Amino acid sequence: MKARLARYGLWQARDFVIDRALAILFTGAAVIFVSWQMFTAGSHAAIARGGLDAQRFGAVVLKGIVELVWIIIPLLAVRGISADDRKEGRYRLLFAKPVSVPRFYAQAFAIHGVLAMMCGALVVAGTRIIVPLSPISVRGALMIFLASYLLVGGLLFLFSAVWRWDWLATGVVLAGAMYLAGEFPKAAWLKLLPPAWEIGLQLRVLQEMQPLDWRPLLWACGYGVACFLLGLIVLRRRPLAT
Amino acid sequence: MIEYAGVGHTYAPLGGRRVRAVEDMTFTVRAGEVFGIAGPNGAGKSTMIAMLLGFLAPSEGRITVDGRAPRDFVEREGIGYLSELVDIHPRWRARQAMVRFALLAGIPAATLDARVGQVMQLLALEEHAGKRMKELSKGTRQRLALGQALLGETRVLVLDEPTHGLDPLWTQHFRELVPSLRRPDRAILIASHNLDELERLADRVAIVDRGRLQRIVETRGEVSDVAVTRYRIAYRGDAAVLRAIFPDAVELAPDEVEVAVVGLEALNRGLAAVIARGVLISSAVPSYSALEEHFRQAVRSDG
Repeated sequence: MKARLARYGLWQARDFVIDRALAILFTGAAVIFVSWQMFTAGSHAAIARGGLDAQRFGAVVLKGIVELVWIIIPLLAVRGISADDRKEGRYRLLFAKPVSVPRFYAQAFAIHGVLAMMCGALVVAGTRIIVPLSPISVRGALMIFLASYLLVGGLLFLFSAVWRWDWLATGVVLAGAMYLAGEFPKAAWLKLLPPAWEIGLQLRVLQEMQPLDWRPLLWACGYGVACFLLGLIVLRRRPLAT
Repeated sequence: MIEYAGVGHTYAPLGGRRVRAVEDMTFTVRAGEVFGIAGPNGAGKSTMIAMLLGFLAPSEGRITVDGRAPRDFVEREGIGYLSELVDIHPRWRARQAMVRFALLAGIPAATLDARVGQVMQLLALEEHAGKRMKELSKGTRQRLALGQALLGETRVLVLDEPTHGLDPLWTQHFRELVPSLRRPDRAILIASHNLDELERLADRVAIVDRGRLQRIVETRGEVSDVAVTRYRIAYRGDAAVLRAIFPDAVELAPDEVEVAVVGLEALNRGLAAVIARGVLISSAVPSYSALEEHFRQAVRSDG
């Protein structure tokens, strides 16, 4: 008998909603609320004027919000995805069943991705309540959320397959990559690092209400997918009981 | 069906001390058999089981289950496994947990509810169906963990300390349950500290100590005829007669001695001689069960 993994996906989705989505949405709501609280009289006047001015102001606010949550969303969505089951010993009963370990976690990563994108969409929708947003800003924010999920989530997936401190390793690697990209912007070896700074650069484009450059975002997605695939190989080969 | 061939495992943590947990382990568990593993704490039982489930790779040697590598077998068929530590998410409710495990065990949609209900009824879990894992007593969690191991009709069942945390009533139920789980194509492996339990349930018991297989004991039939067994003999009469027939007899109490003999014939011959010389025997019982005797001989305390 083979595990009915697709049907089990509903339970993985349920776990995501309870364990992770609420935290993501709470964080998003808090950021939106704080942003709204910081509006000045000028802000309210810009919104009241409507039209392009209001949308430009909206793009600035949206950029500020996305800048704060683009790492947090994948971090909350993927952190400990496989490491927690090993750490808590839950792997013993789960994987005595006819289940492929990489397939189990690949499915979880995909489900978490879809639901994390929905959370991202809700954050954008929440932002739209406080400021008007142009379609180009909405599209841009969602593209950034997608690229950041794949990049940061892919890294977390890999580190989670390797050891339990996945969030710490991911944070250090991303912070290191952004620092090095700032110090050595022309260095060829930057290509080896996760291109988190590219997402930072696209945030500026988002603020200017311009279409995002898809090439660096595609690079970030590709980098994340490569990490995810590497994570699957690690999960296939590593002993679960260590 | 399950074959350990020269299996060893060494834990080698980064920067830590290497620990040789299992060494040169060779034995076979046949289909249709209930096979026990007994050993003191730290003997290597958990490592042996982790390797059987493919959670650890042997450092040397090879384990096969029905001719396949363990992980390959598990991913194809699954193993009904009750772990010593029952690690189920504390938020999951009992029935919910069973449904999840049933899905992972591959129980078809058409029979899933019925199968879950059947197993929950068998282990009297229905009244706890809505409770979260963290709200269940240790014994109930243990029953639930046993239940999830029984959901699929697996050809291999591995029960690690199955009665740990069960009350005497459920321990008794468990002992009645195991014979009903026997099937000609199924191998059942039980690891336990409880020698009495293994002696009742298992056909053979592997005694392991300090990572090594010390011996395999057949628990059906011959044991008492091949091993040195100690008996407590209560008598009425002249103690000198007993000492003459059983020179190694150790006095335990007034009118009670312990003797060591090999086989029932030797015991009966000795008792007949004692009785013939006018001593009355009120009881003769093994000081330890046959398996306990083997265990005592195999597991030295000098390590």
